[in-house]
Amino acid sequence: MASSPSNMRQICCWRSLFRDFQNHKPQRRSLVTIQRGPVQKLNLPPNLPKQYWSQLPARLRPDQGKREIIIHKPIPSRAQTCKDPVSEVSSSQMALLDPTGARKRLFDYKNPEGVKVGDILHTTFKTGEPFSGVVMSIKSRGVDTSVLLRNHLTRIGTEMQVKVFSPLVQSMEVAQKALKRKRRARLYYLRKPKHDIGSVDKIVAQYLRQRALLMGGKAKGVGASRLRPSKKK
Amino acid sequence: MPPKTTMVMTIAVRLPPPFLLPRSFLKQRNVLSQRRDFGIKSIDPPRANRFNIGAGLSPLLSSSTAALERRAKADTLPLRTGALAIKKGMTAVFDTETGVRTPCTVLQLDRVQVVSHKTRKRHGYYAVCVGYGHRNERNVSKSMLGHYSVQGVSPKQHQQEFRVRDQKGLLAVGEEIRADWFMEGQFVDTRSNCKGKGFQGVMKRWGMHGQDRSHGVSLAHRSMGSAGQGQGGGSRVYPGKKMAGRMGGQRNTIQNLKVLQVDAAKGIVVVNGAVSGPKGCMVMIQDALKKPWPNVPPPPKAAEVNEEKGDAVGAKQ
Repeated sequence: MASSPSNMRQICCWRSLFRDFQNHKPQRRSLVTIQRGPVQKLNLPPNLPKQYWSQLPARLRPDQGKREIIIHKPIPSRAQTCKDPVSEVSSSQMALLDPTGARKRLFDYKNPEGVKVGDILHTTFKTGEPFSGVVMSIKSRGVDTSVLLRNHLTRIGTEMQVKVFSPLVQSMEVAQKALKRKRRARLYYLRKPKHDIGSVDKIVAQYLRQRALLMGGKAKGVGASRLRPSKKK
Repeated sequence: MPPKTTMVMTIAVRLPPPFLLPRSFLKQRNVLSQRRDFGIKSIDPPRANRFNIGAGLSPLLSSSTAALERRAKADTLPLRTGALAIKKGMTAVFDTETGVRTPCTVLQLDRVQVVSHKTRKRHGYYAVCVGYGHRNERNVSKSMLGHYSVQGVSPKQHQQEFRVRDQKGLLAVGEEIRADWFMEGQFVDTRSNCKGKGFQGVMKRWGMHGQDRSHGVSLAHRSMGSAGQGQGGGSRVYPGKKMAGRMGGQRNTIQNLKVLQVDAAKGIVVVNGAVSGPKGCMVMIQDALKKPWPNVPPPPKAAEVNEEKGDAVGAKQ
């Protein structure tokens, strides 16, 4: 099987002896580990056209130099002139719908003569029948202010949310002030049978009669003219 | 490319056979110097494209060119840029003639300016980058400050881009967009982030019906029923199954809102109905996609308006 070990050993010996006479191949190492010399810098081609500059690294560009950051001044602010645009829109609408400011005064919470919760309010509309009821809540939202009125129609509890500044509302009058200041802002407890006042029609009818006497014979729509928003000027 | 190797040492005297020399002497010295060479590429390199190159061939359907053409053909890109605004709140507007009450949202434009452009050549589409408000430069990153510096615009609080159909829609950089950019009676689309609702169950998030109050149901009155079939459906829950999770806080577009009022001096735009998001959120307003493009007369130049008001401060310093 195997040749005699003495012959093999001789050949091995010769190869090692002649190894140095063989042609030397340049030693190769991987590109990463090869030791590199200093990088030779090439000069830029002279007079390189400007459109090629973008291809150069930033530090080699001929126009290189720190550009100063300029902080430009802001343009005049619109928000500074108008801090609350919602009330701005609202008040411009109110000026149009309620030029005398009577409706606004009526629902001003600082006004002691104004409408409070628990009062009985008589409202007439340009279209449709009048509606009166107890004021259950007042939502003050500028031009979008509304009151919730509760009454009984044919013995059925009826509520109506009335937009105070709506042009469809012709007049709003307090038929009866609440005897005592209510200790709630929203009188939702009036919906409970225990607290329900029932129909306010009698009170309103009496108020209208009294008013007609005072005003001299005219029964309906007298107070309306005072509060009616006048036509656009 | 492997580095070129050159024998630097030149031997004048005849050396003894190498096996007599020390190994260290024989070892090739590595005195290599790498030359760094940078090539200057052509500005207009020939593009190797295997597809559809040649006269009379239509562009590929899946290319950006074809996509842009499709958008132009469908007429779904506005002709002019939109504006950024802040939602200030809601109120109502009454019609004095008919008495109709219209709920409306009040939006305010403040220091809205064109910051930069996106062009077909560089970015693949046309868009106008619009900035809102003013931000202290100490709170702006240096990179953005450089951008504002070059564009000649003060640092902005919010920035968004509005796509436009073509080059004609690119409003000049530094130009102020005032409220009279929109016309009373025109229709707009508003985009804003709606209010975040947090982690919500399926009943609120997807309007599922929940389960019975009684009939043996316990602890699962508001939970979803089944998440899908068993063996017949692959015994798995399909991707996109509606389940409980984070709700709200994402971008929402509301289309076709009518512009009710416009006040350029105060920067107020009043639109019909509600706009998504809380008060104080940023709203993008742009001409409505699903209505004919409005024919708004070009608003007067900023310089003219400033002269009227007596202000001397312009957009550019």
